[in-house]
Amino acid sequence: MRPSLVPVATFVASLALMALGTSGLVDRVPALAALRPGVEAGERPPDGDHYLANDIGGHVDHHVLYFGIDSEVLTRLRAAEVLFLGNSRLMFALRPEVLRPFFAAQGLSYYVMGFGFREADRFPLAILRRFDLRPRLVVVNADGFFGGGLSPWAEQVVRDTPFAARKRQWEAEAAHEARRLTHVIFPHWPSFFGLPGLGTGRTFTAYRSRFDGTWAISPWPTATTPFVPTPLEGGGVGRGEARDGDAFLAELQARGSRLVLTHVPTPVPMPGAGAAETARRLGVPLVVAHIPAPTSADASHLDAASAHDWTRAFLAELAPELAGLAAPDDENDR
Amino acid sequence: MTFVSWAFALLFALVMVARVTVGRRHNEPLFLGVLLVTSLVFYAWHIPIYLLVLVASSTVDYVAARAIHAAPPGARSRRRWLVLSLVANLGLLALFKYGDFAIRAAEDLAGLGGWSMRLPDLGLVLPMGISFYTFQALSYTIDVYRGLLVPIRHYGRYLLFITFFPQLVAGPIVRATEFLPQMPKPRRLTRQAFYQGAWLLVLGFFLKMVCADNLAAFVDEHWDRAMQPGADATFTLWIALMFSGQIFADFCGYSTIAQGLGYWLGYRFPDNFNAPYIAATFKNFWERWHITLSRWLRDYLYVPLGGNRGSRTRTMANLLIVMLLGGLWHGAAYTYIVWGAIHGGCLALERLLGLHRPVPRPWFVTAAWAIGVQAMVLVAWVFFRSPTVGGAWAFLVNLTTGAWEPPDATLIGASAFLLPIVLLHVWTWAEEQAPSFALAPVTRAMLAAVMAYAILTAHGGTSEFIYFQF
Repeated sequence: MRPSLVPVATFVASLALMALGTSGLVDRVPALAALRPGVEAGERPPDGDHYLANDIGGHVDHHVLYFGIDSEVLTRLRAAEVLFLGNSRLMFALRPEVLRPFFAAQGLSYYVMGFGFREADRFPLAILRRFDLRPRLVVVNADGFFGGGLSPWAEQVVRDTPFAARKRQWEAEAAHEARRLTHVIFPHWPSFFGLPGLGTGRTFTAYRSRFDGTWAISPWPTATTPFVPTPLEGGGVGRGEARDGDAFLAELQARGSRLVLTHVPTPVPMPGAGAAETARRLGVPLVVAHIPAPTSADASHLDAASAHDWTRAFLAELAPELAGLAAPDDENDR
Repeated sequence: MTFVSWAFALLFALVMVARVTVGRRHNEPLFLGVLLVTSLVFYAWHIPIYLLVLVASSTVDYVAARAIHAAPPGARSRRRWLVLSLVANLGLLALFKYGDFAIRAAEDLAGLGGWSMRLPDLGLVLPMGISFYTFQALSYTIDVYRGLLVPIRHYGRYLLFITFFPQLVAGPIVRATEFLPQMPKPRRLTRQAFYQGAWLLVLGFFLKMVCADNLAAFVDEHWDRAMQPGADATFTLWIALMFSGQIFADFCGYSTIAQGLGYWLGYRFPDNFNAPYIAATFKNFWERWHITLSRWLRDYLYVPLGGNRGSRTRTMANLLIVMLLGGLWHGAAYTYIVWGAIHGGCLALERLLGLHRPVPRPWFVTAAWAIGVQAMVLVAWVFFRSPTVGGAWAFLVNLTTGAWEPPDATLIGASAFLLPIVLLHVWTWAEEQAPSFALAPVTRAMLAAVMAYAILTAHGGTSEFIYFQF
């Protein structure tokens, strides 16, 4: 017997009912509606300058930078006189609205090349070598930077091909845009509340600026909690940290670059050496900034307000290290 | 290319256009051509150059099979052609999959002998699905050698059998004797076939995108912590359970999607999973888990080794060898070898005790053995997932020495994604007890809508299918 169309009608009707029901619920319950704007898929800054770096559907930031598939990014990276390196805590902390006018006034170009995935020194070092980058000053957030090797994700990236990188970026962008459309009708619940028990909390989308490498986070977590930053002294410099730190410093010196360490405030205790010990061990300056009562929404990264304050305070501390970097005939290309 | 990607959605949409136009009635050759081109594009999307590896090894098998068939029975050339096919397929597999592992093993051996040796890595990226298509191709030439199959004349159609995209990279491992008879004339896309295919697609994507991908977030975040000394036992056990759920949902999801795609394209694939966690014996577990691999190992390895036709000791040894190689098939690491050894050893022990036979015995014996079986399956998964044997051991030590704390938010939250897997197993069990348990079409449509809603509103982050790496 030929099956009827009733199952198809049932499927469509059931799905539509659920979609309309929950979509209406989100619109009518203020607590849910407050979570909704921009939550499901992120809102890209409208300046046309940002590419998708990371969202729930894929992480493409490593590929874009390692394979240099965005020519403007590569140009800016090569031109940077000051290069910032570190983990996602650095990427949350450094805010472009403070960085851009500051460096414009200094007449210096800069690029922020931190990575998520708890990336340590090996991956950015590989990029430095790959594109023969020669910044005059490298500022590193010492938070677990030395001795961490390649993250599992980076191990996969370095074995990939330029074709795979472009493909990944295309697929991630397509999936991102499709989600933005789909989730207007079908709310993505894990993005509203996060997965319980996971330190990452609610999912966020990161877009990286081609112009200076800073991340635009969407949505910035709103609920904030004050925290006491972990101290600059840690458990001593381990053998792996010392070896990798020495190698990193030697590489920079060979490229004519100076190294400065910093420490972005975080409540997360660091394994291994603290920033102060690492700086002493390497014999490089440590530039830290203190802000009163820093706050975080996810017990790891600074929230928007604290990040803004920290960037301002940090740049004030960093200014003496920048003196003399700008050649008299340098033109600010900002 | 992965099924969970927009590139695949686009490619499959194009294939379906061909399916309902040139593939609708009497244009099978053209439709088969579309399927072949699609399959090659699907494969090349990973690393284009590896298409050459796939085509080269397939061509060797095609030529060898025809030469074997053409040679008179008993001719020595038949065996030579078979050996050529085996060497070509297994040689490529060995080079890509086990090259670096062999180098590391040689260094380890030298280290044991007191010599320090450091050899360079080959650093080859594994061609996607090489383990699967190698086994599929080998079954073809071996079946021709055994006289079970007449080799196909049309090279393009032979290539389509090897490269058919729904099951190319992670199975089910389809034999030529199952696929080739379906090849010349794909079934019509009836409404019944459409419904069944849609059901399988929704179920497969639900298992992958909702269950497996969300469980993966927990497992990836917490597995290392569970290997740290002193991790509490409740947490460690829960993480192990989550991984057992993740790998089932991931792999069963893939196989189910493949079957669904097959339905829509006019082909049927064998079942690859049947609620493995309700198995009460190890033998039964392997009749329910990765079924097409189990029967491949049985027919092309276990039986040729002598199977259970020799002495009891020989049978035990055969089981152990087969499962060790089965473990190694999954990956070039000591952890996979241990995983295979656990299953091989347990299968041998079960046979030794006579517990593999489905005969009446006291309920408590059956229940105790069933619990033991699933406990050992879980232990084996710990080795499968851990990066090192030492890490797996530390994980298991935590299970025996750690404190049993009440489950926290992580454990309770993640259980939501385990629940559908549990329900699926309970449902299968109920169906096996009472076949009339089957769902009415309208009920099934409503359930499919719920799963589709979950896919759209609770999908996890994109992660590749675990079995792609094999």
